[in-house]
Amino acid sequence: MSDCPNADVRDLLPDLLHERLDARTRARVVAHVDGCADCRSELELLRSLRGSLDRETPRVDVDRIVAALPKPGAVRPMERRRGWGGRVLSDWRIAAAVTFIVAGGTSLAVMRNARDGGRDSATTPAVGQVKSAATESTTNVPPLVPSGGVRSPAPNATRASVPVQPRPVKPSAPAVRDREEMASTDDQASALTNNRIGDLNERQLKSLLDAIEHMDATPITEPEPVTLRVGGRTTSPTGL
Amino acid sequence: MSDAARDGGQDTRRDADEGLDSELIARWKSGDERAASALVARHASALARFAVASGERNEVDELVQDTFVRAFNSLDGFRGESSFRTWLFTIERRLLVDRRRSEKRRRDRVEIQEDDASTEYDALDGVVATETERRMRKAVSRLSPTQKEVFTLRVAEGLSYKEIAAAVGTTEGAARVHYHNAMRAVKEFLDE
Repeated sequence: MSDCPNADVRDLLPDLLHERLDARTRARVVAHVDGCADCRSELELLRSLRGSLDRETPRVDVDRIVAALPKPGAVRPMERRRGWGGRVLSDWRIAAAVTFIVAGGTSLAVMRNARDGGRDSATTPAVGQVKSAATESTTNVPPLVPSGGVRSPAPNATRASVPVQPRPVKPSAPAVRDREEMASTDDQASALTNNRIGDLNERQLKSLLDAIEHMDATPITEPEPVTLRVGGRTTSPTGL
Repeated sequence: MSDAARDGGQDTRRDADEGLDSELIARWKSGDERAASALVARHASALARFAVASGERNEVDELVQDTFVRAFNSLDGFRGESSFRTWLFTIERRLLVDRRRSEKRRRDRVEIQEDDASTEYDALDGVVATETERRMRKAVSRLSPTQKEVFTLRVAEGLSYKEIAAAVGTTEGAARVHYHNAMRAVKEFLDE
């Protein structure tokens, strides 16, 4: 049995056998096969091989297979499993997880320190540490308001550090005294430092509410007017 | 003839088949159990043929069943990058490899020997293989495992080289070479 030199047509003979050619290609291949004895015998061989394989194969019990299949609702969504050789998570997920853990841990530490600070006046809450350190560090900048409630900086209070683990820190005597001074001279600062509204007296609350009322920190929710330039003419969408 | 032209000439029926499979899969996912019957009926025989042609003689039914069970359990992982049938062949092939490994440890696998071209299924089915048919089976049985897989998928199932490459884990070019080498070997054996 010899091979037809037209390798392209020979390549398509199995597709012709399985009726998997479009009409145009099929017509071309059939035209070649009609005039080529080698291709005709090869096509006949393919047909015989296919029939032989078909007869050799046992019948499959479709009903039994279907009975063994899972029910449509019973299939769990397939988890993507990868070996440790592959990358289990993408980089941004790792970064997000680390950020979440650090932020969560810090928040927890701050909350616990704030709570401990309210319970035990001998310990310094982390919030207080941060606020006092921040207050003190900002005072390194030349004050905009001369004297009054703004204190001069402590020489060694320019570095503000937040401990990750909440641990009671016994404050130095000057630090306690400084905070007491702030509470007595500035009610608003005291309220922020203590961070417990329930502990404020009426005068402190009023002061705090006044401060909030005059606070100018409302975010801009409306878009600013936009000026468009169309065909050399300057217009505004708002008509202004 | 270019590959693109060749593939373009093959697409019509294949696309229709894949479209029907996708529709049946969607119906099954939405709770239609009859869609599973239709999918099994469409592909079970092809899987059984592939198993037999690959030299599997024992518990072909169980192998096909395991293939479907595994496929339906993982349908959410089927992304449609290959046809459903190609994906089934891939799963069955892995199961075949696993089965052979475990069977190798326990007992010798029943293979088509030179003097054993007629199998127990012939007798069970009441089919008496003719001399020509026996020689054909013998010719196929002499092919290398990869040649046998490629040749079966091409001749018995009409898969394209691209689909065959995806099913047996090779390249399109390598699949084409395997097919033509297998065809040459079969012809040479039959001409002896």
